[in-house]
Amino acid sequence: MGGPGTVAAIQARSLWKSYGTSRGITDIDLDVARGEILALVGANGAGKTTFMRVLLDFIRPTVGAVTVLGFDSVRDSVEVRRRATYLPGELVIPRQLTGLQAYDRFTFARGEGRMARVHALAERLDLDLSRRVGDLSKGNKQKLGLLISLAPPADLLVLDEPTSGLDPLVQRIFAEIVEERAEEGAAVLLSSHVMSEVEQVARRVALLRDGRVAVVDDVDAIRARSRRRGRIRPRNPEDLPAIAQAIAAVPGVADVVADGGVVAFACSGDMDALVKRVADFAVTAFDIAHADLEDAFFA
Amino acid sequence: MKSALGVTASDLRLRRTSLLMWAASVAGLVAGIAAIYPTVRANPSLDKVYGDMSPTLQALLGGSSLTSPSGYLRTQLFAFFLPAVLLVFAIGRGASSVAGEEEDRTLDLLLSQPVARGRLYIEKAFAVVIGVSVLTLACTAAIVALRDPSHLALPYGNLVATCMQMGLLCTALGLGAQAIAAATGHRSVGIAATAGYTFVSYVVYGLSATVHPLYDVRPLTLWRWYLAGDPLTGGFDGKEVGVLVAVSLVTVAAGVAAFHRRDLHA
Repeated sequence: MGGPGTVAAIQARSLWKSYGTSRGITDIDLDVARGEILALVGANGAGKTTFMRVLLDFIRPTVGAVTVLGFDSVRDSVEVRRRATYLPGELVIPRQLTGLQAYDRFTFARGEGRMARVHALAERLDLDLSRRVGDLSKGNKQKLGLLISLAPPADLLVLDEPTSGLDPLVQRIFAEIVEERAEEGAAVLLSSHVMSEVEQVARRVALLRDGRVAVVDDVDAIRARSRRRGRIRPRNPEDLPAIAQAIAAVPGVADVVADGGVVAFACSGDMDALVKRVADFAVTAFDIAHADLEDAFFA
Repeated sequence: MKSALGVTASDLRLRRTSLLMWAASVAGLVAGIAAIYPTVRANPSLDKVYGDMSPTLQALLGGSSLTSPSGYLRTQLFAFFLPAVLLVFAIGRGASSVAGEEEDRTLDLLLSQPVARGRLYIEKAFAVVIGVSVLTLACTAAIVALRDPSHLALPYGNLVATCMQMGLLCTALGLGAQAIAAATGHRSVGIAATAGYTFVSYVVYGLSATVHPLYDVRPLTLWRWYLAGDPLTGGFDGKEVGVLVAVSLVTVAAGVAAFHRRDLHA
C-alpha cells in the first residue's frame, strides 16, 4: 500500500466531514504534487483546519478518503505522520519547558541525530532554545512551532496559519525555508485567512468557502487578472473631471470616482495605456496599491 | 531507542517537580500520623471514642479500636484518609493525562508524530502508574521507617501489603479517570465520574457491613478488593491484588478503544 515513487503528496477524493453543525468540509477533491506549495485560503470556519486535521487522522472523514504519499489517512495514519510534520493553527506549548525540551517532546518519535540542523534553523530564525516557553513572546513561540514542524525531515509539511504573529522579516525567512524544502522535494500545504500572507510563498491557492473548494488556481494567473486600487492627485484640481473621463475610457479601468481632490479607480491587466493617458496631465501623486488577490478569485 | 516510552519519559519530566513535592507531602503526612501513635497507645480511654459508635459508623470509619496498632492505622490512615489524598493525585493526573492535553490544545502537536493513538494512551497510562507508585513508595517508606520508633507492632510485610493494595486501588481509579476523560475529551467528566464512583462505592462498602442487601454488591466496589481482607492484619492477598490489577488492565484497554475511535477536539 502506498509508498514512494510518483504518487501524489495529497490526494483527496469526495472528502466530507460533517459535525452536524455548520462547520466541516463538503465534497473536497484536491491534489497536491510533490514539491508543490499549495495554500488553503478562506475565512475562519471555511474548513482549512478541518481538512488538515483529517490528513493527520485527528478526525475521521464522514465520506470519502484522502491519501498522503499513497498512504490512507485513517488506515495508515502512523505512516502518514512519519512522513508529514504539522504546525497547529492554535499553537500551545507547555510554559515550563525550554525551547529545546519542547522540541524534544514534540519530535522524539521522529528519530534522532539531527540536532545540528535544529540549531542551524534556530539560529536562522533568531530563536534562543534555552529560554522557557513561558518567557517567549508570541512571535518567538510561533518560531518555535516553525522549528518543530520544519526541522525534522519530511515529505509533506502541513502548516496551519504558519505566519500568524510573525514580523515581516521572519515571514520572509519562513518563505525562504519553505521554498528550500519544496526544492528538496517536499510538498507544502499551508493555510491563511488572508491571501496577502501566502501569495509570496504559495505557487497555487485553493479558496475554501463554507467547507467547499471554491476555486483552485495558480498565484501568477490570479495576479494577472487581479484588480488594483489606484489614486491620482492632479496638481490643478480643475483637471479632476478631465482625468476621470480620460482614464475611464482605458480598457480594464473601472469604478472611477473623482472626489476630494483625487481620482480613485480600480484597474487590472496591462498598465501601459493607463500610464500613457495619465501622462497628459500634471499630477502630484499616482498610487497603485498592491493587487488584492482575494478579489481576483472571483474575477 | 530514544523513542521507546518517549511520551512516558517526557510526561514524567514535565511534572517532575510536582511529583516530588507530592511524594514529600504524603511521606510527611504518614510520618506525622505514625509519630502520634505512642501518645494514643498510652491513653486506652480513647478506645471508647470508636467503641461507643454504632457498628455502621464504625464500619464507615474503618474500625472499633483506636489504640491497637492495626486499629489506629486503619482508622487514621488506610481506611479513608490516605487513599483519599492519593486519589486526589491519581484521579487528577489520570483525567488530565490525555484529556488535559486535548483541552489545553497540546495533543495535536504531540500526536502529529508517528505514534499510534493507542501507544500514546498506554505510555501516558504508564506515566500515571509510575506517579501513583512513587507516592505509594513514599508512604511505604515512611510507615516502615517509623514502625519501630512508634511502636507500631505489625509485621513489615503487612504494612507493605497494605500500602501496595492501597496503591493498586488508586491506580485502578486513576486509570478509570483517564479512560473516561479520554473517551469524552473532557477531564472534568473523568474527574466527576470517577470521584462520584469512589465516594458512593466507599459508602456502599462501609454500609454493607450492617446493611445486608448491600453485601451482595460489595464486589462492585473497588474498596472491597482493597480492604475486605484487612491486609494490616492478614497481609498480602493474591486474589485481591489480582482483581485490582485486572480492573486496571481492563480500564486501559477500554480507554484505548474509546480514544482510538474518537474525533479529537481542535
